[in-house]
Amino acid sequence: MDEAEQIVITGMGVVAPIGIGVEAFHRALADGKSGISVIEFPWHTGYKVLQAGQAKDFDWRLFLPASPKIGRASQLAVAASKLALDDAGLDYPPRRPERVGAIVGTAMGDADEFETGWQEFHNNTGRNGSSRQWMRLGNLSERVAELFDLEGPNHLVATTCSAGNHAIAWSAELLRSRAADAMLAVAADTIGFVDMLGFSRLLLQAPERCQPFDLHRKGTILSEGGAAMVLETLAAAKRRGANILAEVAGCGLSCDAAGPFASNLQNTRGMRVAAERAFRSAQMSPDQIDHVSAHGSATRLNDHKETLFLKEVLGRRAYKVLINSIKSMLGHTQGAASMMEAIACVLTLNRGLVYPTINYETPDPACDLDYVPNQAREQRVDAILSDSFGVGGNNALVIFRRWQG
Amino acid sequence: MDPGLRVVVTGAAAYTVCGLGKEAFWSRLRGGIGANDDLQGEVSPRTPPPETLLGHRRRIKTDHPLAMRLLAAIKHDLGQFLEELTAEEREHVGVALGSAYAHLGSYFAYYQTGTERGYQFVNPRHFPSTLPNFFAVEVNDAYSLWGSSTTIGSGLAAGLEAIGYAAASIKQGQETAMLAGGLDEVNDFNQHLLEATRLRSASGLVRPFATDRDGTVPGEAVAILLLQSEQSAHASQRKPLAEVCGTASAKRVFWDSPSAQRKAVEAIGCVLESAGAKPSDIDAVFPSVGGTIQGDEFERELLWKVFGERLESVLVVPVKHIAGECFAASGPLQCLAAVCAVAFSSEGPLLGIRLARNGAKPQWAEQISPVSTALVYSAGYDGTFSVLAVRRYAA
Repeated sequence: MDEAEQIVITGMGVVAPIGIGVEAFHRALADGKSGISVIEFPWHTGYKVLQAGQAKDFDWRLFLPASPKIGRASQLAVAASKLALDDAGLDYPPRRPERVGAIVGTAMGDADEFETGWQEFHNNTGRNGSSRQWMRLGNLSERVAELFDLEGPNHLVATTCSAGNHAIAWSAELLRSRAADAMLAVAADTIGFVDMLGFSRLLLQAPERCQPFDLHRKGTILSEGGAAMVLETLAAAKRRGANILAEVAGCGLSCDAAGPFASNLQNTRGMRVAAERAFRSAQMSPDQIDHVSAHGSATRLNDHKETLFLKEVLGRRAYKVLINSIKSMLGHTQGAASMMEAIACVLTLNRGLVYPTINYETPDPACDLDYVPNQAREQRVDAILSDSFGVGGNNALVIFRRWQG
Repeated sequence: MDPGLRVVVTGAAAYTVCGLGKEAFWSRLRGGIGANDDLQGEVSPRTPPPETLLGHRRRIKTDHPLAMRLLAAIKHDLGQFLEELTAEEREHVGVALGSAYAHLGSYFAYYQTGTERGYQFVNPRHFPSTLPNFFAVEVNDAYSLWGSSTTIGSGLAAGLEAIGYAAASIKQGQETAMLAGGLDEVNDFNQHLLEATRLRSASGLVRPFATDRDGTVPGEAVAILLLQSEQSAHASQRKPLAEVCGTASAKRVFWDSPSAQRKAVEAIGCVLESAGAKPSDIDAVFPSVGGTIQGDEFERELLWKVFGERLESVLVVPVKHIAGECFAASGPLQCLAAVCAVAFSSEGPLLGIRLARNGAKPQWAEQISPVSTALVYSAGYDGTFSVLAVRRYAA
């Protein structure tokens, strides 16, 4: 493939419930540390005790000297972006601002800001609505661009839990089409009342732990976080002597087209379409995959369906490939989840360590693959399939390849 | 990406204040100025409730009013094409929708019930409609479209961005066809915003570029284009109405920002370059202009910067005096009008405005000569800016 078509990762940043920064994130994942704890919520959701993953050590003021008052998801997106830009050694403002852009993925955006704004509006207090950017999802992507003076392509993609991988796929395409020299692919979400209530009322929120692929799994645990990657074409990265971390080999997007809950277990067609696209664009075959970073949300239906899908795509090799779900440690960071998983994939490619699926106690006969239970495993990995399946049926798959340059 | 691959528009769907179907909107727009009289205060669709028009081959699961309007519009204008697709073809048809506020009504209804009445009064099955991606996946679901489903929430230009995204997806060979556009509803929040920011018209009339304009009026709309690769259009025997020949966008293009004109001019320049066109090739502009004091002045200055003295010979065709400020649906609605102008302008004159020199009173005028190439842009009050060019399809 032409170097102007090949997409590489040159910087990463993460703010997660288990740690801030790539090194802390790696250590926590390697140790199987959980970021889930009891949280306080002003409203009832039907649970006596509510567990969630919060980035409790995150202090927004440490990231920008004159930190503006912005929503929590925007803060997480900006902080992760700063870490990624620093990691990539990219200046901000960039030398050519119009050649650096940002795609931000989210499920709910600044839910805290929305809900506070609604309360003020409803109670007729405060100066709500006086800003022309009031109640907009797009504030996330614009704040990233504004605070780092990026004038290249800037969009917000709202494809629920697959938004992170979607942001990577869109960024990669913009680079290939020469619309930018470097792209920040970012994803962030915080915990709002509506998503917590929504997951709770659908019985998708587990009362205590997130146990992907375990027989006794009771649902996911909602979390917050922000993660970002700097993507460049190989040609651009080489030109500036960047440290290349891994390659984005291919991406595939699709929709389940099976209703908001995609509740038909046997209907994996949409997922397969995304996989076929990802392998075709990577010019790879499923036989070349060593590891799958699973969506693994720990809901009863999804884990079973994902297992069926992996067997369909990987065939007999599905039993040999290592499959993990880092949501067992992080909880479900919603739109940010697949970006967090992407960072974990790059770390695995570079450090030869496959992170564990913790809280795995009882094998489920319906989920009978190797989910790397409870302990990280040392293994050289050359190619990883990272899959994400969003509420509503948004599928986004990315294949990461070890950089052998 | 295949630079030689052409993206064509082969169909369109709309649900506006003018009624259901693109024809209702286009005939009203072409009919012209008098429609302004109908925009008194709030805009609300005047067609029968869309549930009577659905009757899908699959059961429609939603009771969301805007989603039903979206599905009704698509069924009305594009239903036959979508129903006739084979299962294999459905794997290569995607959806890209932009909206600014469409999910907020459901989001806050859910929030209000949960906080004021209690969690047990919330209907769990309503949760998906609180998510921004709800509308796009409803379309994928209704027609079993296994291609991509993308929701763009950038702001007021999101609908036009979605069309740009869809065109790129086809050019890159990811999809052979895309349903792309935007939708938005009038809700408490965007109405309040227009009032709080003094953009709302006190008279209830949208008067684009007029010297006595006093603001805009919110409107509800759905506007969708069917984009196909040229090859796919031929294979499905659909006649191309126009070709999408360039898209670009910019952010923080606030009307009063010192850099706004530069950013907007650069984005338009970028589109013209990718279309291989010069400003002198543009016959008509379908602008964002919504009758606000500041916004219209910004756009007048922008058009002068792009076209110079030649602006007097370019037909400027507003749509918001007919449809209201439809937020992220406005851009796709303008685009739909541009496509119709390019495809059907030989069938009769098109009404628009001739912008005279700064300060001079703009004149409504009929253009008899056909429109070959048109420029469309969204310049939202939230600083989002997106632009694209369409031209008459030539095999």
